Formats: sequence, C-alpha cells, structure tokens
Amino acid sequence: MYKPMNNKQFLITALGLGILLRFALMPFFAHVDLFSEARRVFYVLENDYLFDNGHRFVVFYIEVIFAWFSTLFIDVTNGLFHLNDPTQSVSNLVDYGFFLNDPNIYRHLFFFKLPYLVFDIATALLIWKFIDNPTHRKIALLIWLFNPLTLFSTYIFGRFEVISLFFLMACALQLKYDRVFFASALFAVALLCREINLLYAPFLLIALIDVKDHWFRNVITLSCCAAIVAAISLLPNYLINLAGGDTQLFVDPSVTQPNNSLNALLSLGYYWFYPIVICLAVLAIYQWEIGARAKAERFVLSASVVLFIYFGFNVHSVHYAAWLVLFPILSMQYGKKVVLPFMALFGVWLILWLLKTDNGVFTLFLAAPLTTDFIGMGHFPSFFRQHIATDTFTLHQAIQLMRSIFLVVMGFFAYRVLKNEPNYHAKS
Amino acid sequence: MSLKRISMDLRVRRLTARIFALAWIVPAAALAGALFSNASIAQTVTNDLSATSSNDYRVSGDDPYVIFNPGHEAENARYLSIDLGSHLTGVPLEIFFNSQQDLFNPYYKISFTTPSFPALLELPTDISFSQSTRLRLDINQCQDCPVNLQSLPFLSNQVSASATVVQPSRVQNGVRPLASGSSPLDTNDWQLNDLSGEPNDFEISASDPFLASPQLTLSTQQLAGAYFKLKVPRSDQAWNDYQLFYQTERHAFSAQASSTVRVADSFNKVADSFNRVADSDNGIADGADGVVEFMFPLGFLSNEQPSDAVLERIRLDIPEISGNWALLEARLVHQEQLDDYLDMIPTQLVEMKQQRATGLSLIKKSLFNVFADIGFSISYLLLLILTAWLLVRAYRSNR
Repeated sequence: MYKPMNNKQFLITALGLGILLRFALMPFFAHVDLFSEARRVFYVLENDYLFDNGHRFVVFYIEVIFAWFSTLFIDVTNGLFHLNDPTQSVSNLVDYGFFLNDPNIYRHLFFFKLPYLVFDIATALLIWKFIDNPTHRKIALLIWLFNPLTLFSTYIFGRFEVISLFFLMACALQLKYDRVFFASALFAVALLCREINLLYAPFLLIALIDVKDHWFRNVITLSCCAAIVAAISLLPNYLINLAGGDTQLFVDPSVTQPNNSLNALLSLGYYWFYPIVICLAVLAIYQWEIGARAKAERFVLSASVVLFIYFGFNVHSVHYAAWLVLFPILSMQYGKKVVLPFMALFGVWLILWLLKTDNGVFTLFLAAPLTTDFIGMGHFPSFFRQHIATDTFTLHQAIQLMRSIFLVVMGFFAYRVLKNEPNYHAKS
Repeated sequence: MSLKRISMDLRVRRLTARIFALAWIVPAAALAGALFSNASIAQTVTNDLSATSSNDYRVSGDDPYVIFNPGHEAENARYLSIDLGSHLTGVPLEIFFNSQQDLFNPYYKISFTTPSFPALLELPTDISFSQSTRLRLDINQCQDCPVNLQSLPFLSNQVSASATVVQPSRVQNGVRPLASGSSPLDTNDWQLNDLSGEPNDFEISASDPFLASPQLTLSTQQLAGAYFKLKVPRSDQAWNDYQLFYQTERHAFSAQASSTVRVADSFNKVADSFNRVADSDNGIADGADGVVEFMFPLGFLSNEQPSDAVLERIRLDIPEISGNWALLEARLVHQEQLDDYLDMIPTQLVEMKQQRATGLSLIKKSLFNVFADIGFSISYLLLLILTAWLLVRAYRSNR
C-alpha cells in the first residue's frame, strides 16, 4: 500500500538528490572567473600571505581553507596557478587554457566548489528551519535545491554567491527568533562576502525597530546593531592594515577607479540610478508602515523587493541572478505565493541570457573542462542573427524586449510579495 | 558478263555495303554512347553560389566553388583562360585539378589572384590538363561577391592583348608523406624574425621573436607533433611560454591555429622538475641547465573536423629572454615515434584549434578526458555511489 513520505523522508530525499545533482555538475563546468579566483587563493597559500587581501574577506578565506585541504589530494606545484604579478590575477584565455588542459582539472574544480556545496546545503537546511508550514517548506526546499539560477551560478559558472546567501539566510533566521545582535553580526559577515549586500542595510535597520517598544530602547538597539555591523565589516581591513598587510594585494593599479563609486558599487547604468533610489525610498516608507509585523517578515519582504528593484533596472552579470532566489523563497513563510513568479523568472532569465550572452557566459564554453573542443562551438545570438532576426526585428531588439519582460517579471514578483495575504494574517 | 553474274555481284556489294555500314554504325553508336555518358559527368556543378540570372551568380556560403571541364580550344595548353567578372579581381582563387568522381584531392591545386579579367593563368610545365580533366575553381575570402559564369574557364595557347597573364602564387602538385623514421628538420634556412644571428646561435633583438620554417608541404596523415629542443638563456621568470603556429592548406599563421606550452626555466630546479624531461638513455633529452625541449601535439590536424591535410609551415614564437639562444633541434614526429615523445608534451599546454571533435567523437573525447585521471574517476564514482547508498539508508531508517 502506498504510504506518503513523511517530512523527514522528504527532506532526506530532496537533499540527497540535490547533492547528487551538484556532484554531477561540480567537476565538469567552469567559467574563467573561477580560475582567476583560484589563482588568487593559491597565490596566498603559495606565498603565505595569509594576512593580506581584505577584499571579500570571508569568502576568500573560506576558499583558502578548502584550497589548502585540496592540496592534500592534488599536487599544485606545477606552476598552474603561478602568478608573476598578483595585480594581474584576472586570467586571460591562454592561462585558462593551461588550466583546462591540466590533468588534475576535475579534482581542482571539485575541491574548489566544495565550500559552495557545503554552504548551499546548509542554506537549504536553514530554509527548512525558517519556514513553518509543512507544505510551504517543502516547496521552498525544492525551489532552492533545484532552481536553475543557483545551480548555474554555483556549479556551472562556478561563483561563490551561495556563501553570501548563507549568511543572509542565517541573519533572517536569527531575526525570526528576535536575536537582533546575532542577526546584525551575521549580516556584517554577509557584507564581507559581497559588497552589494549593503543594499539591504537600511532595510535591516528599519526592520529592527520595534514600534511597540520605547523609542529610547529602539535607539539603543539600533545603535548597537549598527555598531556591530560596522565593526565586523570594517575590522578585517583595519587589522590587516595594522599588521602591515597589503589590502590591495590583487588590485590592479592600472585600472582607473570610476568617479561615481556608488554607481559602480551597484553596477548601475547612470540613467537608472535615480529610479532605483526613488523606488528604494518608497520601499523604506512601506516597510515603516508595516512596522507592526514581525522583524523577520519586514526584513524578508523588503529584501526581496530591494532585489526586484535592483534587477529590474540594472545591467547585471548572469550569475548575479542567484541573489534573487533566497528572500522570495523565505517570503513563503508569510504566505506569499511566489511559485508562479519563480517559473516566469526561470524562463525569462534563460531566454534573456541565451540572447544576451557573449562567447563565454551562457554557452558551451562553460563545458570546456570536459574538452576544449567546446570552446567556440557557436552561441545562440549568432544562430538568432542567421535564422530568426529580420531587418525589423534584430537581436538588439529581442534583447531589449526580453529585458522589458524581465522587468515585468520583477514587478509580478514584487506584487506577489507585497500583496497582503488575508488568510495568512488571519491564521497568524 | 552474264546477267546472273551481275545480279550476284550486286547482292555481294549490297551485303558488303551493309557489313561496312554496320562496321561504322556500331563504333559510332558506341562512341556516341561514350560521349553521352561523358557529357553527363561533364556537367558544371556549383556550390554556395546562388543564381541571380542565367549566368550570374552570387556567393551565398562559406565554400563557394564551381566544378567544370575546361573547354578544348588547345591541346597541351599553356594557359587557362578565365573570366569571372570584375568583382573577383584581387580575390584569392584556387584551381584543384586531381579528383575522383568530383572529390578533389587537396594536395593538388594552383593558387592565384588576378588584377583584372579576362585573365590567362599560366599553367606550370609539369601539370597538364585535357578537356576531360575535371577542375574545381574555389573563390576564397569573398562574401556576397557577384560571379559571372557565362564563359567557363577554357584551355588556351593564345595570348591576347585584352587578357592579363597571371602567374600562380602557389602550385601544389602532390604532397610528401611524413617518413616514419624522419630525421630532424634542416633549420639552417629557417626565417628569423626580431632575432639576430643564425638558428644555431641567436639573440632577441625586438618584441616579436620567432623562427619560421620554409615551405614543408607535408601530409598531416601520420603527423603526431612538432618537437623542439632549444638552448635558452637564464630567465627571471620561473615559467615561460612558447607558441607554435601551424600553416596549413586552409589557413595562414594565425593565433586561432596555434598551441602554447608553458615550460619551466631550466635553471630553476624546483620548477624545472616539472619539465617532462625524458630518460637520458634514449639520447633525446639531457635536462641540462639552459636546455628545454617539448613537443606540441598535432595529431588533431588530420583526425578532427574540419581536417587539415597539408602542413605548409610551422613557426615557433619564443619568450623575450635576453642572452644567447640556439635552436638545437626541430623535428616533425611521426605517429610511430609518438611513444618516444609523449613525455615531451608539457603538462601546461593550450591548443587554439580550428579543428574540433563533434557528435559522438566529442562525447568519446570528453569521457576519455574524464577517465584519463583514473584516481579521480574511481573516487568520484565511489562518492556518487556512497551518497546514493546513504540517501536510501537514511530514507529507510526514517519510516
């Protein structure tokens, strides 16, 4: 007789299949960026510069620890990661070619992505813990484990986004239990993984305000939390400088710093700067207005919408889309119906990047670790130009069309996340 | 003469005439049949040329050519008269002249360009065409060009004032196979660029130093790779890059058809231990200070698609290290010698190829690469099995 899976069995099955899928992808795909990152990591190990490099401090040192672990299984003294000049660590195609032809490439890729797997699965477990409704948590877990965005970003493109997402997840969980100082500390750690997380900072601080509490107590709490965030996020650079380390170890001095550093931080085109600022300000007002709700709910909802605004208007790299996944999943805890927007997002993201890719971003180039014959096998934009585009409907127009639809999907997401779910609040 | 005899005579004559007539008709019919059958072979074939009017075409793909029989204006002709219209002046053209059932051998071709049409291509003395020779005229590097095929190329001995006489830029009449026990290449006549001295003793004089072989024109059929042994001055870098360019019948020297190896400085003993130096007993390597040796694999030239049939020239770009250099040995390695040279392939190798494996061979190659690291493959499979087993076990224990 058929017996449905219990919750624990569901969790085990989903995690097991998720891990197997990740194992299947880990050793065989990568983008050049992964090799550039690996060169920096091995440069630090090779030269014992363990107290330098303040850039994305947490991610970097997690990678250093796992890279050191990998040296127990792989000989890395063959000059593969050798850097004559650390400021020139961004790999060109020839250097990457050496990596692709290295007999140990599968070991390197497996071990280099191992911390990503650990943090990815840990995030899945925290999501399971965060969401109380058994059905919602199952859906949330499935979306996290099998969504193409994080799978692509982490195991095919090979970037570290999940580490940053893990600390944001942990921050949200601490907020759920009203542990505001722990939440602030974890948020600061997330800032040390990705600077873009700074976007969430004002919304975290607003979420920490308890409208039922005395204003003075709120001021003290907010000040302490802000101090924790500032102290932890600034401490590594301060200590490295104090110890005489070089925080600019891998910074290329020949690259001119853009004048508008805030724009650069947000990867924004100039024209979209003001609409984003306006939308974020409106969102802050909204968050203030729902001040009676739980801290975690206010933070999760606004963090979701922050990203919808950000991604709706800016030009971003393909793997950044992984940031979009976490907070909307967590919004399911508050009865938000986000499955359909997720499906729309996956579809529109896939088509947009098929159209928008260059030779190495969303093409078979990423399978080059299997054989370098995958390099230059053609990409969808050239197929589109040859077989689909007309004089009146060019590739550029198709990309702009999909970008517009992407914005609409972000709007759809925002609507579903902000929409008041009467059933949920009635139950609450 | 009696009437009966005359009548008999007439019958014999008629019979004889019939026999004679038959004797002519049968061979004539056979000849006509043969001609008819030749006529069917002798049809003009075009590829990647789309007709815009009855004799006007336009290049419509990557491989435009026309296959035809040259007209028979002259026996033992000295020229091939060609008129394709003014748009093809200065365009690289090739005549392939050795075929079986319209499959042309790339080893046999005449390359030329012409400043104007009509043109008389001067035929090499050791190559002769007849009217039944199938020729293929390839039009290179000309997208969307209009081509006029009103008058197909024909053999001629007449030099006219209106036609430009054109010399072939290159004639290839066959190709040499690579000998299994090949000796080192003679490097005395190699071209030195941004290098001062001779191949056996030179210094770098400018920023693009390389050594290039003369025309080799060798079949790639049994080619396994190109081996080099150099005397190299001390470098201030632990690792140095050497790049091999290979010119074939399909392309000139190009970065997209080159391989790069990263070789340790031979004076740096820590790094140098990773130079794959062979056993000194085989007389190939000595691993001495200042000597590096390596082989670039080139087997893919004939194995993968699109294949290159002829190795025209090779060129070795060297790193900018000041001091005295020498090219001690350059050798094209035959497949049968490959085992002796496998250790000379540096672990750090990049191949920028125009060839590539496709379809099933691509899958096979990927699997081969994965299983080449046998330690990883076994551990990886065990990890997958272990994960699956743990999953099933945990599932069952939570019933």
